[in-house]
This record gives sequence, C-alpha cells and structure tokens, in this order.
Amino acid sequence: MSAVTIEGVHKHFGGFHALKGVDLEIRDGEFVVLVGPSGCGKSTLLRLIAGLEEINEGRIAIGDRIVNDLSPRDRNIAMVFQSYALYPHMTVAQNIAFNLRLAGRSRAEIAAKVSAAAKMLELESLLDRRPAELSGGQRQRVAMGRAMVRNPDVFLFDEPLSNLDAKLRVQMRSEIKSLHQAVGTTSIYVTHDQIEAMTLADRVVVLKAGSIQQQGKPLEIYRKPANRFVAEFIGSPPMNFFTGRFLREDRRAAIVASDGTAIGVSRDLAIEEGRIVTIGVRPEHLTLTGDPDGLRGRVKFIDPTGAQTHVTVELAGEPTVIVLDSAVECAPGEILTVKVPRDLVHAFDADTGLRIG
Amino acid sequence: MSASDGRGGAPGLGRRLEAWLPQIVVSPIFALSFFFVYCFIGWTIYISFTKSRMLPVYELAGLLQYERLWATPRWYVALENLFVFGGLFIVGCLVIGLVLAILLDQRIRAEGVLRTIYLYPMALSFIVTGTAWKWILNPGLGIERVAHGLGFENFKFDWLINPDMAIYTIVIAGIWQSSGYVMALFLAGLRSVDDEIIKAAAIDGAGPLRTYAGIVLPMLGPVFLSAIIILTHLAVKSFDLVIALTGGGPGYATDLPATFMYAYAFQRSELGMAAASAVMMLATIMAIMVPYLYSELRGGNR
Amino acid sequence: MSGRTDDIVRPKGARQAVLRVLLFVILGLFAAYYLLPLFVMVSTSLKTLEEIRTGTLVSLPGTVTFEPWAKAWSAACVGVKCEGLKPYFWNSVLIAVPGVAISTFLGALAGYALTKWRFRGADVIFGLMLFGAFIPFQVILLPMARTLGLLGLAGTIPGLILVHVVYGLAFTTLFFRNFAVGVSDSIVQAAKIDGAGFFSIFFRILVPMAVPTFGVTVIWQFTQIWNDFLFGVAFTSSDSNPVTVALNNVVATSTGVKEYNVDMAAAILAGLPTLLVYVIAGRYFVRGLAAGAVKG
Repeated sequence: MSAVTIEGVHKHFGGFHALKGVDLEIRDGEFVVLVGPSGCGKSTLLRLIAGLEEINEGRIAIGDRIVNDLSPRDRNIAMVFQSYALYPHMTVAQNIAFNLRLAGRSRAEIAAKVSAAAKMLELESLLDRRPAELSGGQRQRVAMGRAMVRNPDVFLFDEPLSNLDAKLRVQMRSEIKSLHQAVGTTSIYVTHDQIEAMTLADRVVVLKAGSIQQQGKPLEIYRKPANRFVAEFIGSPPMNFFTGRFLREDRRAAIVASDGTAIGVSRDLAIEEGRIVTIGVRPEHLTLTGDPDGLRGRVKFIDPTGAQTHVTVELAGEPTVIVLDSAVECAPGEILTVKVPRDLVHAFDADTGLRIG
Repeated sequence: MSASDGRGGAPGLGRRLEAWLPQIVVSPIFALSFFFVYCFIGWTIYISFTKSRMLPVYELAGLLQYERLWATPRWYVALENLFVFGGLFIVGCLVIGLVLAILLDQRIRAEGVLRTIYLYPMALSFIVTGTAWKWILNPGLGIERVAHGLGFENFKFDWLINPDMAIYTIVIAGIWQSSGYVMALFLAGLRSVDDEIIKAAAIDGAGPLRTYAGIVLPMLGPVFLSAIIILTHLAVKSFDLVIALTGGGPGYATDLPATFMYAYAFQRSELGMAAASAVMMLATIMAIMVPYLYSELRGGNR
Repeated sequence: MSGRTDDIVRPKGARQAVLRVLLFVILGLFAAYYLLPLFVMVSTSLKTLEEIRTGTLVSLPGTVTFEPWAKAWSAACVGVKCEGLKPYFWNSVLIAVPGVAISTFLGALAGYALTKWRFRGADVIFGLMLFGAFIPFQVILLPMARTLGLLGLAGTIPGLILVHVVYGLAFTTLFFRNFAVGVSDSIVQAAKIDGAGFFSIFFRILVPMAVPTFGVTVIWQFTQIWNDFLFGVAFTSSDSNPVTVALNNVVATSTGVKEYNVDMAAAILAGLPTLLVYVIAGRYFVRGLAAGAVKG
C-alpha cells in the first residue's frame, strides 16, 4: 500500500494538450475517483500512473519512488480495464495466476492465492472456464481477481463498470466498495458517471479539459461546488441556473432576471449591488408552496421516474427542473408556485463561473 | 528511491534496453526486406542503364539497353501477347467468376463441394496441372482425338503448336486456374451485401434479375476493382503457365515479358536487356498498384 | 451467410423447377471443366502405355496399373539422371519446412511489434515491407543470383530457403499485422501491468491467440514455396532442384518413348502435398487467399 503523488503533470498527444499541469496527493489507502466528461483527461491521468503512456512534464511518485521512468510492471500496480482485457486463451484460474507465474512464484503459493481470490469473488466454480464462457459480470469479477492476487500498492480502475447493464452495475459497485473496505489498498477509479463517483469515493476529483476543477469528499463537492461546471456535472438531474442582476434592499436580497422575475437569495452573499451573477439551485431543493411570494411558472414536461417525478417548469424564462414526490399530481400547462430556498442557492460569477461565497 | 520489492528501483541497463526491444527486433527483419527488395530493385535499375551483357559492368551507358530492348522484335511479341493474354484472361475470369458466384449464391445444397472444386486449381502449381493441359491440348492425342472418336473426323485442334493460336491456349489454361478464385472474391462480396437491402428491393417489387442488375452488382464495385487489380498482377507475373504449356514456343510465339526476361537473363546472358525488361515490368505493376494501394491505405486503414 | 429468404431471390411458380435443374446443369458443367485436368492426370497415370495409344484422354483405364507411379517416384529420368522424383521431392520438403517456419516466425514477430508497440515510423516500415508483396520477381532475379553467389549459396538448398524467407516476409507480416490489429490494446496493456515484457507478451499472449492466423500463414507459405517454380529454376542446380523444376524436366525430357502415364503420375506426386493441404485445410487456404492475395 502506498500514497500516490502527482506533481505538475502535463501530457500532450501531438498538438492536443490532454493534461495541463495536474497536482494531486492521494493518501495511503484512500479511494479516489476521477470523474469528468469524456476527453477531460481522467483516463489519460490513470494511464500515466499505470505507466502505459509517457509523462511529458512533471512527476508521479508511488510511495517514495518516482515512477516516471519505470515500466508498468515495475510499478507494482494492478489495473481493471473497461473491456476487462482478459486473456481469451486462458482459463479463469490462469488469467488470475498470470502475474504470479511471471513473477516466478511457487506453485503452492499461486494455488493458494488464486483460490483465496476466487473465494472472495465467488469464482470458485468458474476457475476452469474461459472468458468467452462467462457473463459480463463474471468477467468483471475475474478482472478484479487478477488485480487482487498480486497485492499491489495501488489499484487502478478504468471505467470498469460501464460495459455492464444498469442492475449489475449497482451490484458490482457495492462489491467494489466492500472489497476496498476489506483490503484497504489505495485505489484510483476513473468514471464518467457521477453517481458512481459519489457512492464509491472517499474523495472525488472533478476534471475538465485537462485540469482539476475541484476535489473533496463527495458531499463537500455536492454542497459547495467550486464552479458552475462542477455544480452542473455533480448531481442528477443537473442544477438549474438563472442569470440576473444582484439587488439588495434593507432586509432582503434578490437576483432580477432579464424578464423581471426576482429570485430571493441570501443577504450574506458578498456581491456588490448591480453585479450580474449566475445562481444555481438543485432540482431536489425546489419545493411547491402556497406562499404568494413564490415563483410562478407553467409546467412544460413531466418525467415520472417512480418514487419521484421530474417536472420541468418555465421559471424566470428558464426551463427549470423540480424533483417532486410522485404522489404530487400535475399536468403540462398547469401553473405551479415554486419556492426557492435562499440558503441553498449557489452563486457563480457570470463570466468565469467561479463560486462566490 | 528504495526498491520496495527488489523488482523496482531506477531503470537498469536491461530495462532501458527493453524499451528499445520492438525496434531492435523489427530492425533486422526490416533490413532483410529492405536489402532484398529495395537495394535489389535499385541494382536492377542501375544495371539497366549500363552496357552489361555476360557480366555486370558498372559504367553507365544511358538508355542503350532500353533502345536495344525496344528494337527487339521478340520484346514486341512478348508485349503483344501480354495485352492479348491479359485482356482475355481478365475479362474471362471476371465473367466466369461472377456468373459462378451468382449461381452459387442461390442457396445450393452442394455449395461447399462445388466451391472446393472451383477453387482447387489455385492450390496447385501450374507446372503440375500444366502437364495435364499440355496433353489435353495436344494435337493428335488430346481433345482432337476425343472429337474424332465421337465421329467428328475433320475436327482439328492444333492451337498448341500453331504460332498464331498458341497464346489462346495459355488464355484457356489461365482462366481455368484463376476464375475460381475470382468466384470466391465475388461470392464473399455477394454475401456481404446486406440481406435487408435485398428484402427491401423485393418488397419494392424488383424481380431477381432486377435485384442483381440494379442493386447487388453496383454494390460490388470495390470487389470488381480489387479483382481486376489482382488479375492484372497475376497476368504480368505469369511465368509457370507459359513454361509448362508451351515453353514460350513455338519459337517465341507465346513469350510474355516474364519469360522474355528469364530467357535474356539466364539463357542469353544479356544482363542489361534483361534488367531493362524487368524494369518495364516493375513500372507496369507500379502504375497499377501504387494508386490502388494509396487509395486503399488512405481510405480507412485496411 | 445468414440464410436469405428463399422466395425473394428464387423465382416462384412452375418455372422454378426448370430453372433449378438448369442451374445445377450449368454448375455441374463448370465442375467438370475444373475437374477435367485432374481426372485426365489420375486416369492416365493408371493406364498402360498401350492403352494410352489406343484410347482417348477421357476413357477410363481398362486395367489399372501402378507401375507409372513407381517409375515416376524412383526411376523416371530427370535430364540425364534416372532416379525418379524422390530426391527432388525431399529437396522440396527440405526447402519448404524451414522456409515456412522461419518466414512465419519472423512475420509473426514483425507484425506484432509493428502493431502492438507502435513506435515512430512503424507504419512507414510496414508500408515499405508490404510493397515487397507486389513486385514482379523478375526485378530481383539478377541481383539475387549474384548475392547468392557471393554468399556461397548459389545452387544450394539453404540459398533457396533464404530467397523464400525474404520474399515471404511481406505476406507473413501482413497476415500477422491484420491479426494483431484486431487484438484489443488493453489485453497487451493488462499483460504489461501483469509484468510481461515484449517477448513474454508475444509468446504467452499473442501466439496462443493467433493459432488460426498461424494456420492461414503456414498454409499460404507452404503452398507458395512448394508450388514455386521461378526461384527454383533460377537459383538451384540439378541436385538441389525442387520437385516442380524436376517435374518440368521429366515432362520436357525428349529422349526415348514419351511415357505420358509416368508424366501424369509424376505431376500428381509433385502436386499431392499442396492438394492434400487444400482438401484438409481448405478453409484456411481460402482465408489466406482473401487476406493475402487481395493485396497481392
């Protein structure tokens, strides 16, 4: 087990600047999830840590060893690939044992480790099968087993669940989580799925266009997104945004949108009078109200999801999603009155997108 | 920087060497190819510009050998034969290959067996099958005698020894050898046409003939192109066919550039002219292959 | 290959039966055309010379004799020597076996290194090597003859092996490159992380996965080398002739009575190995034709 230190790492692919100076400290035993849209550089960063790509600038250390010039096999890491990358001509047992055999471990040791891993992952009855004879979930488990037997310093996961169907994904997610709790190995996990990121991570690192946008505990990021991008990316359905002029009266403060709608916000926001800002409110924080001060809007779409219903309402000229209990009945065209909770409003600079306050 | 488990640490000489292993492994293989293909082509081109006859001379002599080559009647015979043979061979193979492919595409039960039969000539050396062809075409012993036996007393088939007709025996045998292969190419092409398109055509009311002529064949354009390229290539390289069947004779009536080059290089010891004729062959092939390969490689790898 | 719906391409109604019969007649006639030379070879090789003189090429042998086969194998005259095809058949085996093995191995290694360790210039190198598959061999005959002479390999079996290896490389590399392109990069990366290096990935991952490709390549190379005539006739002397050259000499020998039955038996003997390979592993042979000959 080891900490991983990433300092000022740059990566270019031809003219494409994939990573623009990434700094990241990963503590020993921590489960870190790199998340972001496709092309943000999360997989590239993982591959640099694995040694599958060369670092153009900066340093990566695993424990106290700088690994920039080490080949993947000398880094004592294990990786689970999106496609699982199982060796098709080998049985499950041989797949899991491959690394140990290359390392010249004894037969007895290999057998013991393989059977321990198989037991943990419930693969015992499949050890003699080949990958082609396994289901997607089983293959995923074999890939995990192959990574586990070697006792690596660091586990790397490259979107390991994205080839599974939704149900299996949830199940494997909790298996990965309980495995990490049992083994405690430093893990770096790449995904584009923010729910996966939130549920698995000790710490979430949000990337965009080759730079880290924010890192922190999942709920920290959810509660205090550092910029508009993170606010929009984390949370589902995504945050609603309104842009307008900040006005303050003696007791109250509000944003006045271009159509004249005033949305009340917290007075404590450190914003000068008259400045144009963007505010964001999460769909799950909006509620219906009988209060005449609430914002009125017409229902455009209704998307039932089961327990909840996502209702899109036109508020202050913007299509705004509200998450309602599915017991609430409404129909398109209906006028709803919506309450915006002042204390849960996020404010961002309209130009830079950076968080205010 | 401590090695945590004895396998790590700073990269040693072995590890640094390993980073270059792919290049180290490919280099000698590439060097072999490069030397035996490119250096040899260069040597041949160079020799074609010298006075070399029995032995190579390295003094340049301009276009002398090319002038001599183009003043040799036998070279014209070889070229004319190449055009006659190449043209008939390509058209014959395409027609027979396409017809067989379409017929075989009609869900025939014995398709596997028939395909095996149509394609086996490609697996055998023409030196082998030519022995049979030579006998079949033999005036007196071959089909001529069969025809006589059937009562056609005046039937005469002496193309093999008739200088004006001998080249056509090579066409017959050439088509026999390669048309099955063209059939296989077309059949693969037909099978790759989306079944749904054919169903859609049927729903639109197209009969089988219309379906083939109007929809399937136009989609086989790329197959036609590669078949023509391959057949041209085979035609220019044809050597065994002529040697086994006629030996280039009677006289040199069935010479092709390939046999011409061989005769001048190894029998007449005219190195310079042999080289010049080889360069002409290379130029012909390149004129066809380079644009084709270029478009193939550019148009989405493989 | 998924079955097409019958009634779409096949015409319906009463005409169907007639067309169906016609179809089989045409296909059968073509089959006869393709089989004719093989039939003539086999039936003639089993006839006595007397019967050949009286019958025609399509008549079946009245009394079957294997004497021509025995003579072709061990007593027919190749030029002035009358030892049959046997020594030349073994020459061909001695040329083909190492020729196939070496060119397949080197092609596999090059195809793997050029696709799975994509270093700068790998594509150019592959393109240049591939070009070798298209040249007319006449353009390298003269320098090859000289080089073999300088190496002391002129007229020898090792010399011919060398020739077949270097000019087979373009094809074998192409076959393995096409295979390796289809192998997911992440399998190679997983192996790297598992601790495998260049050679262990090749021998323990790629080679076991490439068994069908080895089949295609070995069959292609074997057919090419066994059937070769040009290199054999240009670069070997009488003792080291491959069987195709010897066969041509048998057939061309003009002294004495022309023994057609012996010629035919000799031809079958010379063609038997590739014919057997084709019958047993035709599937691989056709795949090789599709992959290799589409490009050459």
